[in-house]
Amino acid sequence: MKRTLSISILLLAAAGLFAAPAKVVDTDGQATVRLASGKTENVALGRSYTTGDSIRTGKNGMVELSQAGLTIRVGPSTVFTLLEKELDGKPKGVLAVTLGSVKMKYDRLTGAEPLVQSAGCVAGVRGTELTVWAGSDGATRFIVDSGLVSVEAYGKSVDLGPDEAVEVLNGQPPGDKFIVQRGLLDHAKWDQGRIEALLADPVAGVEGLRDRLAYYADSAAAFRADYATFKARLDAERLQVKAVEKEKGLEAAQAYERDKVATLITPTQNLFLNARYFLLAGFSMRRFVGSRMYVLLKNTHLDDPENPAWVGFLGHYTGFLEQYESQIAKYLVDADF
Amino acid sequence: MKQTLSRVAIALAIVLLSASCTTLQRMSDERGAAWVAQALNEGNAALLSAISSSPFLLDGETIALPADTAAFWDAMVKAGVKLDPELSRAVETGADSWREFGSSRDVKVFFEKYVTEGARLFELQTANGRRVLVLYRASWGSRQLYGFKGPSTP
Repeated sequence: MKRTLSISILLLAAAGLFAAPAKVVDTDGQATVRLASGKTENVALGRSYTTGDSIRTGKNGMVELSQAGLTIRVGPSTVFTLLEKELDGKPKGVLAVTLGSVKMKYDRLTGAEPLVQSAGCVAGVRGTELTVWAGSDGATRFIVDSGLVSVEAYGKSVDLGPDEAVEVLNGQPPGDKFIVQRGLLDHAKWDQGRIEALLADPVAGVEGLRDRLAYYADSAAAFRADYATFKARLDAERLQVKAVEKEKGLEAAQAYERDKVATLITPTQNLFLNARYFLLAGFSMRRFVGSRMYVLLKNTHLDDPENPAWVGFLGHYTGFLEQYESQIAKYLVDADF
Repeated sequence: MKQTLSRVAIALAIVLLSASCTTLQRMSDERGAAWVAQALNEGNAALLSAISSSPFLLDGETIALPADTAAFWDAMVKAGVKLDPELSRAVETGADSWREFGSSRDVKVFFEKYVTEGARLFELQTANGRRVLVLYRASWGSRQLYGFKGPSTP
């Protein structure tokens, strides 16, 4: 009970304490939001959403959000989630595009721009307008309209300027950047190409997922371990406050609390926030990209269940699920599912 | 003597009531299974999509997007999967029913969060003898499909 309570308090601290809310300024077609609490409802004009909330649009759905000088246009068939992680000691917003297309436009740059994340990579934004496409196989395409965007995966960064784009396949570093042909931008057509690539080599697709999942799981494990250390120190110092009060009085205890306890609270919360961030990123990839892959492959081989491509995919996919189950799912709370 | 007779009458009434409940449930299950089989056999993927819940459980996968569920029903129709409407098995979902769909936490939480009381688990066979599970609930004239597993080799 006590553990559940402390996890709940930390989840509340991790969910939206620092985040700028994103307000719905326009919506059309089918659009739902799965709130951090686990409840799902229709996206409502004028409502504000925050860390942990995930917007899902249907085939003809669209949602436009406004967040502190940033306009976010969530396109059709998209899964878009507001996340948060700690960077350089400060909480930073993360806009996660798991499937579909999202266009972002900044009215002004403040230096506190959120990161943009897809299944396979993270981008730092120093530009004013960009589009992110997330494919059914976990691939991502970043397209810059204006400004500068830095896309990073597996230790490799690619800087993009206006009219430049880069593609990142899941489990791989960013490819070479290229010039976009404005009139030929078509997310649906691009995603169809990604689906064809997946069907042509499903094992490569699922292995890309496994690589990325391993990164999320390792990162989450490292932050969880650090969090456990800090939490133990925090608990010990809190006990010490009581000892100081008994021995030296209230004033001394308050001073001890200021010096020793208060300084540990934010770092401990940040470690928890980051562990949650990586766990949720892994969950999101499994839930949306993994399941989409599974359905695509199952649908293709319904009339031929012994097909070697399907059987091969299942073998690797089972490994991916075991990895997810033991390294990600067991650390989530029921509301996450 | 009078007391014994009334006890026997009560016991008989209970047995009859219980038997009729079982019969009614069996009839309801048969109707539900036949309805699902008919919708699929007639190629009515749109109808099956319309009554599929979101999220939808497909094998061990929680399908979060209705478009993916719709794509699955379309593919089932396109692949020509036909169901024998005769029930192999029908049970009420219970605490351990999730194990029929998998052993993951995703499946367990799906049952706990999304499958409401009164849902039934049907086991049917395809025309070529493969096995499917249907997670179904009917209430006051409305139907809902929570999940589907298979077709798989028995």
